[in-house]
Amino acid sequence: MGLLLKVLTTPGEFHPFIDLNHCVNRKQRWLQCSACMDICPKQVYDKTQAEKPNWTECQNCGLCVSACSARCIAPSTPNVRRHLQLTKGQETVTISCKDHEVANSHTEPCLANLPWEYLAYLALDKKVVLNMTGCGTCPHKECVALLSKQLTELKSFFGEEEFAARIEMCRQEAKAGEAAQLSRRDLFRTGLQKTAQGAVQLTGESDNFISGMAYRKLLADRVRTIYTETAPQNRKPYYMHLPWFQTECYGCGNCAKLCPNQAIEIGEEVDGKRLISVTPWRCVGCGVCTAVCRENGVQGNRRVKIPYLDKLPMTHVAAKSCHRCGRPMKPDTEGDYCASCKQKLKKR
Amino acid sequence: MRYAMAIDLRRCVGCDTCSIACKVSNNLPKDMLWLKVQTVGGAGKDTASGTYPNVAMSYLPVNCMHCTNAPCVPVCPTKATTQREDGIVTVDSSLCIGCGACITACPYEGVRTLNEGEPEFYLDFELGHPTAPKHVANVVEKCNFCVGRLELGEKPACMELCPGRARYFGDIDDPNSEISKLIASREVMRLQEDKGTEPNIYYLV
Repeated sequence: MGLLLKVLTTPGEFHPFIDLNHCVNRKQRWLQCSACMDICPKQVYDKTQAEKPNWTECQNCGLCVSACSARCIAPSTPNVRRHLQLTKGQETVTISCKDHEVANSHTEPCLANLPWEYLAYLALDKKVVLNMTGCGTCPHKECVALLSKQLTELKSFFGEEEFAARIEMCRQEAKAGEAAQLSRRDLFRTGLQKTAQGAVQLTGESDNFISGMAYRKLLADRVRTIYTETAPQNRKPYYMHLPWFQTECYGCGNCAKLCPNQAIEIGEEVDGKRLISVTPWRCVGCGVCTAVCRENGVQGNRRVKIPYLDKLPMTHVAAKSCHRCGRPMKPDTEGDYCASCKQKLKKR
Repeated sequence: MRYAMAIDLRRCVGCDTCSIACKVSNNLPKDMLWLKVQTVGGAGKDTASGTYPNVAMSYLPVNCMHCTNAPCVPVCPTKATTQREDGIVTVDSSLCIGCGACITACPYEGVRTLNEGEPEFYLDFELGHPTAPKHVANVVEKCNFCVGRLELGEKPACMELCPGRARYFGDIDDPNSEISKLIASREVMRLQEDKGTEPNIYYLV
């Protein structure tokens, strides 16, 4: 009875769970995101996201998890368990949607509900075959758009050649399951065992709360392992879209404060310079940093070649700090104090 | 519909009652005033301008001007500062991150204050109007024409207590309102009109 109560009261047990504190719309008003509302087939999500979503309607399809631009929707436990089945077993994984099932394939309600991070994670160790037979004639245009967005991200992450080697998109039902074996399997044999361990860790966390970033964390951990295990000359680069800092940036820190996943870090002032670092696995490309910068200091995202997904130094920017409160000021500000401190000092 | 305020400088005696009424009604923390009464010309508070025997003393109450072209609205990184349809510029304390961009952009000094750290109060119970805003740490605060009181059909707190009856408040778009007639009939002044912000606080000189 106690166990049943626990299961019933655990958030994210039978439906995805949204962490509204990380929602883009709760952070600022310049960029209004409606990704979860647009993709949901059952109108679960509220218009302003001010109230609790209407979970009674939820079908647990998981489309919102991969659609969320800030990755603040956590997958439900049954979905995570089903996805993690993919990490076990064969070297080739065939994924198909429930309307076009083939033999020896893993079935999902829709191909788009696997976030691209998880597909990338699978593709690091296995050959992934996506059975896209029905996608051309699928009546749900939003799902097709989401899937193509996911695949574009994936292609951008691996680069064209690697993408073609690791992921196959098949359109004929007969062809599925007969894909070529991955040649690099020996390299990753040890990795497969670690994958199983990671799966246990991920499901172990389900008692508390699986964050929407769990799949990214999994990918980052795997990439780090591969980076350390591979000889330097054999290392392959990855590509991600990271914030593009301009010379106008003076390190005010608003983007770092408002980033839903704390991807941006702005260092202390050293010799009139501040170091800006970005953690690629935390950066989901939601565009909040671009939207909130009023100085045009961040102008969109740029495709960057990275060795792994951990914290990377991006750029140095000119900096000046207020002598009283220590907050960053524009380098061309007159005097030693910021506007707020000037007024406070004047009163005394 | 556009709210505006007119202050008759001939009637203002510099008693600071409006400032205190605002402070009490909005339950403002220590070291924070949304409305300050400045002394014109003098070196400090209540000091005359000019040199003896040609001296004069006059006062200038300054609060948020609720400008029509408010420069604080476009610089806000989170859009916490917004202008309502009736012209009132408000700061949403749940979105404000205290970056101070609005303080830099505002041409008027002493209009807004940044809560540095957790706000402290003189008394350990809450004062003021039932609709008084909650005060949060690291948030910029300023006059909001007492939006809570307006919704209940009341006038802003600073209007109510002014002993000299120097303040007028109303809809400036309505030509029959008291404030529109007053502005039309008397000589008015606005602060820093050359900045093009079109403030909605009129001073009757």
